Amino acid sequence: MNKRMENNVPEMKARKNKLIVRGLSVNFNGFIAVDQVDLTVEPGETRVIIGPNGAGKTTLLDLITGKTKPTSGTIEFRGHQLVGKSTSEICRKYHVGRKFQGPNVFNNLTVGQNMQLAMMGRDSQMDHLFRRKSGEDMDRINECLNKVRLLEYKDIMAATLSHGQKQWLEIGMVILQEAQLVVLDEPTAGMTAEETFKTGEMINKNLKDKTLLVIEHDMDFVRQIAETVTVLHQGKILAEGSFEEVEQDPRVIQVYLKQDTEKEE
Amino acid sequence: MNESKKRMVRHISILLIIDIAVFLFLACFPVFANAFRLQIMAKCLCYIVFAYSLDLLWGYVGLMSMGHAVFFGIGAYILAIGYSMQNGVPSYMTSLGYTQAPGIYYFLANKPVAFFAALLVCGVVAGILGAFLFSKKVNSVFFSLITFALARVFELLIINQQRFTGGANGITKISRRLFAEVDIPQQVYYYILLAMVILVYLFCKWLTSSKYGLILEAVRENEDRMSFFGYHATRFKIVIFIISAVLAGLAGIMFATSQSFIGPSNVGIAASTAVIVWLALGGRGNITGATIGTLVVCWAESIFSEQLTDYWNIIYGVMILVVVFLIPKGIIGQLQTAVYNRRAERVRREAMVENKQ
Amino acid sequence: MILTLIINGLMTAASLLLLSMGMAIIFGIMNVVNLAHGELIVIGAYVSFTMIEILKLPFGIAVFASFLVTAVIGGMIEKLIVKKLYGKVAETLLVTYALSMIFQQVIKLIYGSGYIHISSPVNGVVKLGKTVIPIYYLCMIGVAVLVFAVTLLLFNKTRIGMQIRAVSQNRTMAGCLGVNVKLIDTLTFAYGAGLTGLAGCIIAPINSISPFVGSNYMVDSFMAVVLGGVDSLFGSVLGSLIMGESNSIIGGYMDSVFAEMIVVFAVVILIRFKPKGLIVKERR
Repeated sequence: MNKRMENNVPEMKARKNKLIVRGLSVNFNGFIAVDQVDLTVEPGETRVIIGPNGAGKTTLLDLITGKTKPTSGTIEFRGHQLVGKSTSEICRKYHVGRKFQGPNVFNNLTVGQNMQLAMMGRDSQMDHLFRRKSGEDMDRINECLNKVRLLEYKDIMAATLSHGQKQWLEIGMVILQEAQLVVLDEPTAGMTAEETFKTGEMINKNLKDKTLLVIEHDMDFVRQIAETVTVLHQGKILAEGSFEEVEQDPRVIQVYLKQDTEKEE
Repeated sequence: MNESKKRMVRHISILLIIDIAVFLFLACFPVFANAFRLQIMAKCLCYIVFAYSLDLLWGYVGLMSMGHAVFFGIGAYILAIGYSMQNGVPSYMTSLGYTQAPGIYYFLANKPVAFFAALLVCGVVAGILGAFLFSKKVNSVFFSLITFALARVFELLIINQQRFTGGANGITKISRRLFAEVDIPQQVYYYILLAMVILVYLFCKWLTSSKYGLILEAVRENEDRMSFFGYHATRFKIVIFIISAVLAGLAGIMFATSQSFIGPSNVGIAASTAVIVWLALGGRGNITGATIGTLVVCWAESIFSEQLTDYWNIIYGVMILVVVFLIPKGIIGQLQTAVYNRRAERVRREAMVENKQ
Repeated sequence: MILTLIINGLMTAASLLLLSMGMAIIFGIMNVVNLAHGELIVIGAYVSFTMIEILKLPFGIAVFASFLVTAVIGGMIEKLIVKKLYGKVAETLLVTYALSMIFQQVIKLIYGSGYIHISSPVNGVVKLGKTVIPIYYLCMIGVAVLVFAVTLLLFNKTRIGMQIRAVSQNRTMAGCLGVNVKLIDTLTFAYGAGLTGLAGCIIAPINSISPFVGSNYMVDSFMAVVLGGVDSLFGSVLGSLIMGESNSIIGGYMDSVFAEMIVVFAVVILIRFKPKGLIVKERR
């Protein structure tokens, strides 16, 4: 797997994997979910987006992956405009991969089949019809399953996995998809502290060379993986910087504190 | 690792053994059956291909066509019109007193042309329908209901356009020859049909065990997720709809030639829902279930409806209720699940032991 | 000529509205496809046949009885069968189809397979220029409007209507707020089925009814509901109007089967561009 990556993505090309978002807004019948967002993620950077519920985090990911169409603004990745393209085109041509909030896998297929689907998404229909599964494919799947600690479960249905294991399966699928921009929506939701830490290790080990955009609530986890943190509040960017900087920012503290006092009331 | 591979092999081979046993039985059938029973079994063979065609669509992609008999009918009717051409006019038209047939019918007088035109039209109709019905987020319920409506309208159209289609009486005396110039004897034709069934069976097995088959199942499971891996789910749906329609057309051709008859009752809602019931009983999403379900229901129908004509529909309805509530996955599906559960249990136990160590 | 066709279309639309109202409720609000819809119409017609032609009772009682009988049947279908299959589309389709076969055969066993005749309660015609309109048709339009108005009032102004809408939007939440979700399901289904039977009774005097005509009505009602929009009751009014008029006008110049075919293909094309029908509720 590593060999293949080195061949496909030389240093020069990797540098181009830059995500530039400018003036992005979306308006749902009067409700502005994302408001004039500017965001630049450098190639290979791990960016974590935090923010209270309803800040527009998931909507932002929907916009980038083409699930929702923006009202205005541009999204550029590897020098290509993503706005207006369909999801399958964005993921096929521009190598974007996404993990959903709450596991979103193929429940009645086996773990191995799930992985295989992730791997061959960009092949042509002719390949799907006439090329059989090769030994090399199997090795890649096994290797990746090993990374996400699911190798023993290869032949059982995804539906029978535990919640945390499904999350890992989906992370494994994103790794195998070999996307250059990887978008993770709450990868540790519903996990125990130990599982969360293991997930962080998984991401650090296997996805560090990709341009990564992660939404997360768990602050320990954010500290574990983040290089830069962006705080989103009411659809707008409130602060941006390293974890320590953001942690100290009075505005961020206020937003989170306000929410806490609201909860207590 | 090797262990589980071995288990996979055993799991697959159960279905394979059933298939081979059934085909051997079908091959021996003419030896001990009289001409009447053989004719019924020949009908079953056509229906098996019909069931395979819907299994690809419903069982694998989850698109429940409630009007699949439309394609069965298109195939059968185009071929029947072509085969009944005598001196430039179909025989049923002559007996109705018409001497002029529509221009297009002249081309069908050539037997191979009629055969391939039948398949082609099925594919084209399915492609156009698919392009409209699958393009946007059209709920799959609408697909079922619109195909249901199509089956109804198609049946009415066939009855209504007596001049072109033979009307409610259907088209009779279709010669039992494929491209040959003379009628093929019943027993020989039975084996031709069986060969076609096995060919279609092999094709379906090949398709569903390819990567393509896996993608089809994934579209059924979670279509929305597919696009995030770069798949155009819509295209897969359209392609499989076309393949399925062509196979249904082939089944229609087999039916029309082997039974020497095609009528409106074979192409409407009743015929479309019948094939759904065969799949539901046998189990969908594995080709074996289609074979078993078709054989069981068809023979039950021909035996019971001879003796209990008035009550057959009630028995039939109750049978559907029993299947849905007691064996929702069908006979073969239930068997598969049982085999799978044992395997999954073992894997989980092994994983637990490993984690403890 | 064209005026006659338009007026005839209006009549067809009224009967379509009556026929599709039950489906608009069961399919649109409960999201259940009932393939036995046509058979409920036929049952309604046979109940009124029994009341009027065999027991010689007045038409008003027949209307009431057909509503009651089909509502009870509908309630039983929901309680015993459909309830267990919510969310399972294929299974629901199969089971309701099985029910439709059983109903057909039972009706045939009781009444025979021939067509039945029910005498119309009102005779006489109104003349409008060259167009002749039987008074019964006018009454039918009145009934259709009345049924629609009552249903709207029931859903929008009463407590139970509010509960029905609450359940259709969010079952769990409605349940938490103390709504008896199961009871509401049964009642909604029964009401939809009852309206369907009532429609069968109303159209019986002017249509030929046999045990096997159900699927025609089923297809027509489905088209009307989908054409107009499944989300809204007004959708089925619009759908019925369009279908009634187009069937009548196209049927006036061509074969009626062609008219039906054109409508089916129109729906196929429409659904491509407006997957939820013509009237769509604004939602985020």
